[in-house]
Amino acid sequence: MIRLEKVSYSYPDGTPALKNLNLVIKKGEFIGVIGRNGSGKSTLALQLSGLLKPQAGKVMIRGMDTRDPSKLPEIRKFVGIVFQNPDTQFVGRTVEEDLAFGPENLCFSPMEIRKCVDMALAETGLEKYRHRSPKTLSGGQGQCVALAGVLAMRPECLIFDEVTSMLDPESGIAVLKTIKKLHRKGKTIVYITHNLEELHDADRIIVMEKGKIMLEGEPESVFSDISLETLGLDLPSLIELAENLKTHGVIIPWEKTASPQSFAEEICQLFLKT
Amino acid sequence: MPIILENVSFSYSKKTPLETSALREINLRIEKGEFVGILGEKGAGKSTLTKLFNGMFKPETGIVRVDGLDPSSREAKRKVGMVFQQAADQLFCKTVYEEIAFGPLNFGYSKKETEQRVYEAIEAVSLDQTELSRDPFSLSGGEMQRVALASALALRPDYLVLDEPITGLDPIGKKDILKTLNRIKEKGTAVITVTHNLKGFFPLLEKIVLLREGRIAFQGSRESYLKKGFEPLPPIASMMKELRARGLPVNLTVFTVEDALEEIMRLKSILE
Amino acid sequence: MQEPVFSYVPGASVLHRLDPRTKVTTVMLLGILTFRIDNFAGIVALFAFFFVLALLSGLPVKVFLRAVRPMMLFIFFIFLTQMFFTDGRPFASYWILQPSLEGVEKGLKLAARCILLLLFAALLTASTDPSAITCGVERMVRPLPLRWLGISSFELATMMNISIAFFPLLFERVERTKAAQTARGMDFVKNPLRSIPALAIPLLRGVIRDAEELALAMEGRGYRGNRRTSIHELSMQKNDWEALFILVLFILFILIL
Repeated sequence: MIRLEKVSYSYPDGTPALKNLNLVIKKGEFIGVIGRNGSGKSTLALQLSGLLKPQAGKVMIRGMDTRDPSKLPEIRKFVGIVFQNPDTQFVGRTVEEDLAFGPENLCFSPMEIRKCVDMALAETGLEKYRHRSPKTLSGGQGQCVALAGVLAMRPECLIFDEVTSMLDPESGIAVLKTIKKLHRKGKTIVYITHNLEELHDADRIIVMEKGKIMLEGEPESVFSDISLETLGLDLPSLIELAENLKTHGVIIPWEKTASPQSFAEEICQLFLKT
Repeated sequence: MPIILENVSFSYSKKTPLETSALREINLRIEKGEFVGILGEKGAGKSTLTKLFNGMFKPETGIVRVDGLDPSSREAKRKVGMVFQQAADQLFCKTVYEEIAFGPLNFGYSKKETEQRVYEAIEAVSLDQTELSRDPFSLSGGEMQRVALASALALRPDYLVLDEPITGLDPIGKKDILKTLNRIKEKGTAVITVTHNLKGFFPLLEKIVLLREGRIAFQGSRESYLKKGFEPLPPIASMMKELRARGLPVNLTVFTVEDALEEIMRLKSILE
Repeated sequence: MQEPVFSYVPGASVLHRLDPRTKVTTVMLLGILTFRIDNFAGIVALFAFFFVLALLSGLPVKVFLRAVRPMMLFIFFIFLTQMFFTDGRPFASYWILQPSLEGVEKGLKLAARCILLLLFAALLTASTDPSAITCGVERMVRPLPLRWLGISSFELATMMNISIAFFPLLFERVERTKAAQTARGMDFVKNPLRSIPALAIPLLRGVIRDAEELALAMEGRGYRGNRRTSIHELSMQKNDWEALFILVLFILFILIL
């Protein structure tokens, strides 16, 4: 679906951001990307969405080379990207107008545009804010508008670049929930974050460091890899606790470490079964 | 002498149709050398509360006193250092030195006095002296945040008030700032922080102020906060609360991984 | 917070339903007319026309007065300068100032014209969704050879939209920066020389970063500065042609007057 072949990219000032990167993203996958600031995560996001072009190697998005300008409209329709700061993603004065921006650029007819907007509003549960100014919404709702603005273009693949890092935890959880719902409906998701907790049920996690992929695999195996700490990444407390318990012979299955509730449930079952 | 708030209320857009009450009947006392966490959901009034401490907002009713002074007086302003959200955005000088010297020079301290304060401040945030001549914008996110902290510390505040100081930093940057704040507190400055990041801050907090819809829902020690089962909680404490809810005799004051391990093993030996 | 001047007031009146192009054209023609006619009768007729339109819009008159009020001082100043600096028969003398009757007449007319202009503009903005205005303007300037200026009508319209969207962000930044630097002891009154860079540099950096982020988000949503469509359906209805016909009649009437 999206394929990166030996992709390298350096910023104009010469700092390398991606080094010889290979990556294949399959249809319907939920891929988590994690790494420190400056590890190349955001550059990867821009490459995946065709907003940056590789200086060496190539990025193929459903068979289309991102370096081919004639393919760009098609690529934009196929991949959507949502950024960190909701405020700098709004272009319309009302939510409805903002969502129309993408389809307008794709030169849809007014009727088609309305359809796209209605669909995106329904998927994100924003119908009641249709005529509100996106600036008057809370951070979490704002980020949902940004997501809906991309959804209105009906992309098959969505890229999220630290979309919850400026939100309070409750709003962050709500936004992530919406994203997971889209994944269940068949969208391919690339989710970039600092927060390992958010990647608990990803299909695959990629750990980036210095423009390279340092670790790759299912969450369970990535989370238990000891090199995470040396990469400066924080293991979620519940997973750390589960790891520690394991050495004392108390085994908590991976799925149960997702929330305090499921963790507590499991412990009750283990201890109270007799 | 502490920061005292007595029966303070505050509203936005007073006397207009858009008037919204932000804080109601706040009674609060913050002593020097305390590490205080202001918790609560978005819109509970946390940021508004911090802006009362340095006189940016004036209470509608009630009084605010900083060591007995009006918080909008210049002397009180020096005593209360503020570090806002994304403080690194406010840097503007060509060198780290100038950045940190900005505050003391504004308050009219001599060049020599200012220099002394700059050195003291960078030591407090553990930046190296060689960094002083660097361009602040060439630093990493965590380092920039430390420069912002140092520029507040150069005024030798008795109270350091922070709004979400680690939001947006990566884990290493976060740990840096947490360590730095703890050291500042050890030296006798009160650290008062608004935060959502409980996992990072909980071990440092001595006192918790929980706001709910503009009112104080709880204020007191971390232990009593945990015992009384208030929320939000860090993940481990939240799990302990769940265990208790399921009838297991666990200690609710546990919130670190190490203590939780011990507690669960103790539980295991009792139950088996 | 006060309600902004020239803001859109949603409604379903005849005026609201007209095509924005009809309304923009009308306001432009009336604007020109306002400054072409030279007799009081014409001005009175224009005021009357305005009140008829205001009635049709179904909006309270205070919506329109709100647009005039902030400019009143300026208009009064125009009136005074006209009154004092027009040659003619003086009717009084204060020091070197000699107000003339001709001046009073000229001043009154000019003031009335300014007020009319503001009222008609307010009528347009109150009855038309702002994005529909930009969309209408875009359609109208599309045949113009803007390419020679290096922009397309689409870019022009998007620019109009974006800059309006960007203002609140800018003000928020100003407030944040001011608060943060004041907390660091900045005193603008006492020491403006130190304060200006402390405000300007973070502001500029912030705005540039905001703009870059916005540009990236726009590009990601397929914006390329060339042809695009709009969610607003613009089609001239029977109503629009009728309105324009009435307008022409009215203009002829005024010119004959």
